[in-house]
Amino acid sequence: MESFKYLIIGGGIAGTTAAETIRKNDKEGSIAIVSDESHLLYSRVLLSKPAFVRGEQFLESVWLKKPEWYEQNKITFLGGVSAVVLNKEEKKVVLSDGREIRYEKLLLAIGAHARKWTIPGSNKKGIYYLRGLDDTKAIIEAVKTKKRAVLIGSGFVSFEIADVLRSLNIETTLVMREKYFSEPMLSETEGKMIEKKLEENGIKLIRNTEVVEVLGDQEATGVILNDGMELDCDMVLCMIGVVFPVEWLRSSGIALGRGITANEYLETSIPDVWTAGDIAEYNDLVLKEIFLCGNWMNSRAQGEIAGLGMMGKRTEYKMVTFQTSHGFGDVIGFIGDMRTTPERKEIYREDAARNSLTRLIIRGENVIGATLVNRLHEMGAIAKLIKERIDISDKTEDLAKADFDMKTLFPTRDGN
Amino acid sequence: MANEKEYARTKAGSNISKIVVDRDLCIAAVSCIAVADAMYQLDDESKVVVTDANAVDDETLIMSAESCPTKAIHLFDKAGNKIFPK
Repeated sequence: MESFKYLIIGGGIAGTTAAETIRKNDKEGSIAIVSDESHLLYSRVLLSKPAFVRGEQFLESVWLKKPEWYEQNKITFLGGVSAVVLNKEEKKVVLSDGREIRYEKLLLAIGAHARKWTIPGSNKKGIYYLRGLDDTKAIIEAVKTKKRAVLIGSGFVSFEIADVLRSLNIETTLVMREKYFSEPMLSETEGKMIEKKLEENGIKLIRNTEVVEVLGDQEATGVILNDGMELDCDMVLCMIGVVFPVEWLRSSGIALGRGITANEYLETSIPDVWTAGDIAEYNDLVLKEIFLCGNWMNSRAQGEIAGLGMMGKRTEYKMVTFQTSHGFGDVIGFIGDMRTTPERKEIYREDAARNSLTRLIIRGENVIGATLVNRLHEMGAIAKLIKERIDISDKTEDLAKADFDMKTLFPTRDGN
Repeated sequence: MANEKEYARTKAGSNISKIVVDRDLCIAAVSCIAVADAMYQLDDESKVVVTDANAVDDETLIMSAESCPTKAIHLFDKAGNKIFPK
């Protein structure tokens, strides 16, 4: 049986950063990365970025590590194979090709998968998802000839792909289950700002609606909506979010929530097993809640923390992370915990002349998250408000003014 | 011509003398800020700018450039050779 000191399941930015971190500190310990994709590390955030999908950037720019990097760092890359069983008693993982690999320290950085349709007709050609590089390659190829698209979903990937479709003059109808774009990630005000942009660019929006069937023989030629309406198309882009691939782990008894449960050190409930990245549902020391955070910055940083832990340098994960989405010249930013609940308040900072809006999410006396439309320059200050738990309870009126400088809220000893 | 901004680095003992941010490539994923927040900020065009080119050591600077998912941060040594990305 093969055996590695450090076994990493997942070849994305979390897993690869963990391997890199381990190698910096342990020059000899054997490391293997198992990835269900055959690709070496690439930039997942590029996959839906309009300039990239339109082909304005070289496809090669997607690669973040070359084969030599794995060789030089003595990292064994086992691609195109997935983990199917975790046996914690024998400290081994069984792979989809039947191989069994023993580990001393294990990292589960298994990310998320695109949510797939199971509706009638969903096995036809001409239906596109977007999660991995091969998905994007298929879309890049398809948009060269397709004329009429139905785009499903109102998340940020959908927003970015909408830009691509319209810039290539593909007739686009966007169908969303929500009553406004990106509900509830965005507020209705923000969602309407995005919708206005989409409509100005010729996209037809259909709200409160789901697709119930895909039409066509072999190829998708249309969809049926739950109100009975039919839409003709020659491509269907299904961007309806993600699922977390945790089912194979159930037999191990590892603690699971939506993702894999972890403490602030990214240790799971099983000894010598860590988790990091999109799949980690961890104890967030900044937000003081259990949090699942799917963004590049978080995944990279958690890979580092998990890597340190795996080689004995136990380190707390304590970070505020951001994510951005780009389309039609607009930039939307997400930071911290954007979920709204009845107990949480919101403060809006709107500059209508610049079509910009920041929404701060307030829990008690603190900012815990924000969404920003065309106001990314405020990210740094907001991150600091969140991380340092600045009491803003007597500043809510100031904060509601778009030109109020949030830096004045920080103690002056920092020199700001 | 790419939309680039150059920043001279004069830190004592450093082998890196120039940092270039390709503003067309920058998508404000801001992992660079996560690695070296003393060094970078977002400007009002949602692009990363270097606010203090000497704020961190070489190892941290290289790590910040490597963390960028679009390879928008380029580093040059004193002889003018590009050391990242290669």
